[in-house]
Amino acid sequence: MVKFQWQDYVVYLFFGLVLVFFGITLGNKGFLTVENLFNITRSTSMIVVMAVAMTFVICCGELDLSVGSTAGLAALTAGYFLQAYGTVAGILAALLCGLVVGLANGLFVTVGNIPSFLVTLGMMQLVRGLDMRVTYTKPILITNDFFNNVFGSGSVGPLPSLFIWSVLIAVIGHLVLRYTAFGREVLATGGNRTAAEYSGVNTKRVKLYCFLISGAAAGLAGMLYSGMMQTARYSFGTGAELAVIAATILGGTSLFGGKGTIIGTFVGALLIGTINNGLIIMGLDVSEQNIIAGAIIIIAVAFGRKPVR
Amino acid sequence: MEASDILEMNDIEKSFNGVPVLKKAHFALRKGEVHALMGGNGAGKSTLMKILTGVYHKDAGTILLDGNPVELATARQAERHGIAMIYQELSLIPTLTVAQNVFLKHESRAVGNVLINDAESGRRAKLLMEELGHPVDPRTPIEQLSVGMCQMVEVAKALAKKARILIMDEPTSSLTDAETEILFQLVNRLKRSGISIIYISHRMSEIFTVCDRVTVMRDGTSVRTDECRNVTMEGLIESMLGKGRSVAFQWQERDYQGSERPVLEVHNLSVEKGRGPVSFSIYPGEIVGLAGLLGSGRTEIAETIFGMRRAHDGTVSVNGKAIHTTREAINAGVGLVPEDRRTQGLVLDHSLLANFILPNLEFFTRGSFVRDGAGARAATDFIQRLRIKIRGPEAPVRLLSGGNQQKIVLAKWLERKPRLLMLDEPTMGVDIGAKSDILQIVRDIANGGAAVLVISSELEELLAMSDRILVIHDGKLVHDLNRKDIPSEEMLHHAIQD
Repeated sequence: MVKFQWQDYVVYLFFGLVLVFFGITLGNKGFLTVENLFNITRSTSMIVVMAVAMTFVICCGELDLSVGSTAGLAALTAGYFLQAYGTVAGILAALLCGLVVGLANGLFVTVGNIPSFLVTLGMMQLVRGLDMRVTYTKPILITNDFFNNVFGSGSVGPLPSLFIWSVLIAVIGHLVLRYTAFGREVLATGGNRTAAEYSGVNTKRVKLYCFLISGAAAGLAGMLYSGMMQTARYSFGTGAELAVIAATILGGTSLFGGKGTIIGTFVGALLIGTINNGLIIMGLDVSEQNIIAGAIIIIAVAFGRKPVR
Repeated sequence: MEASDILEMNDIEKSFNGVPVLKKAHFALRKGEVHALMGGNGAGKSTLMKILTGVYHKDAGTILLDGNPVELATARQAERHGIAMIYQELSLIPTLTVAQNVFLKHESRAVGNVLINDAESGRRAKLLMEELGHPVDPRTPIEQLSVGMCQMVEVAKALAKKARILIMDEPTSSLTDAETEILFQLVNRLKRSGISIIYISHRMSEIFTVCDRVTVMRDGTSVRTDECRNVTMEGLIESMLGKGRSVAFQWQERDYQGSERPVLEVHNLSVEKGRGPVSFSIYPGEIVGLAGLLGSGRTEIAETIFGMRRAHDGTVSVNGKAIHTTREAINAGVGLVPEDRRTQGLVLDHSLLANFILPNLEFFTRGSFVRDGAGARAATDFIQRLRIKIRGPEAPVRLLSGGNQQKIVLAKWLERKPRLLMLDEPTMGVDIGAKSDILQIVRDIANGGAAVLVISSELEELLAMSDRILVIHDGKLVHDLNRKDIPSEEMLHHAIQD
């Protein structure tokens, strides 16, 4: 039947290796405590949420660089509307903000026929500018306890709410990508857009939906940032797009589209989070963390490459 | 060995993983001849050629060049002996110029062999292209050339390496009729200058046009070598397929159920401004052939019926319902097997199953979820029914042969039990065995009551299948011919050309 290719599983192998390595070297420094492991999931949950959506975008053959700054804008929008109009308004406004950016990206790509790399590169900068402009870089304090609990600081039993969000989004994403007609259409669109159209798939609509999903996920991620910090800052999500794309590609999604899994993406995000966490516990400073995390990503992706036929 | 033979391959054997692919195969090539190499998939043609070009190493047998035994262990050695292959998928680098491509890795040098002498390369490339009868500015980037010109550059590249044996693998598969004509002239010119050509093609008519001799391979061995003027098309098909399997290529008058209501009605359709109009109908059970030159608008008509293109003017209706979009067409029971299965028909990196399910998603979902199990069962059914050679429904389709890929595209639409199935060049680049299967599948579909529209440039195929043939010129219907009234391929050929 299907040939087993170990390259498809390289992210799990690396995740295992990294856990074992830090477990041995940092076991007595608190790496292996339940508290720390939840810390890892907490700090990666925004990446997971955005990477699940990014998997859809990349699988349909596009890219979304604007997720980080959109998360920042959604955080500020949530903060403003929460304080001014209450919980429901805050949540809806943040999601709507993500959807509007996603819609703009999607329309430029599908109707305007502009490569998504360029559209979302521009959008990334434009939205980041908005982030700084709307509050003149001042933070908004969020005093809504319900919001803070649900979207960041709280927990259900021993499980942090951030962890629950990331698992929930990953499960939904997995089911949709793997088991629904829409998921198949996404993969077909990225695998060969022309053939998908000749099979009756409306590929423009598929792509537009993927950008809307990405925007909404960035909106949710923005709320998670602000709920965790109980504040909204213009700088939330800065650089997150790179971690999100790295997690997706580490997880085995093809940069050219047509192939990818949410489980891989989820583990890819955890891998990045675990590396960062371990390096911090090791006592490395930010510059050293960057060097090592970057090197590990390159090595993992290199190992995941299939031999060229 | 005859005195005029420059190449002789004797008793060549080759196995992969213990499976014999070549069993004592023979092949001999004379100086200055065009020699067709034919056979279905798995006959061993490409393995034999890969041994000749040094890609594979033979297990047993001898290769003689000019009567002397040679070892062709690497591609480099074969190249040094003057053996070159013109690839089916062109191997030029689109962003580099003609001269840069022709002399890639063999550039003229200057300044103590360090720098590349572009002027000298350019001069020599220009000369080569002139010799081929197609002068071109050597500084032109490849991406600005037509496919036909690219092929000339490929040939120039081979000649620059002093090739004397050229292997052409399906050289006309992506050429227009005019370009094909130019290629044939080139082949004749090369032949006169003493170069020998091994010509691999599935297209029978080409073999008779340009080749001097033909060798047919079947099941890993050469079954027949003859002068082309001594063989008939029927004879060749029989040699390739084995006894009694050539009936699929003969026209059988079909007795289809007459019906008053047509499935497809095309009324005053013009596909583009200033082209057309065309009006015709197809009835249930009827096979209609659409003939015409390349660029006559055949594909555009099919794509407009399928809703992929917006009609400039006129209407298309299926079972009385007007069609404007692909969704409407599919829902009305229309299927299209497109012209290029690799770019339009299939997602090559996906499995047979994923490709098969794609246009049939609504049949294989329960609630919101796709039922892969049911899809796999249906796909397995088609694998057996259409005789698709594949490991299983989960296997990817990229590496399958053209015939097997085409059968998968057919299966995608057959699952929908189409009322109207359109096939655009259904046997292009498909080997003879699969071709015979596909012709029979098309007849079976029509016998099941569906209306069928077949577009093909291969007249013998149109004549074998169609009940009626429509000749299109510049988007306009110029002849509506009953098959019974077409006595010969010649006549149809004239109807198309005029």
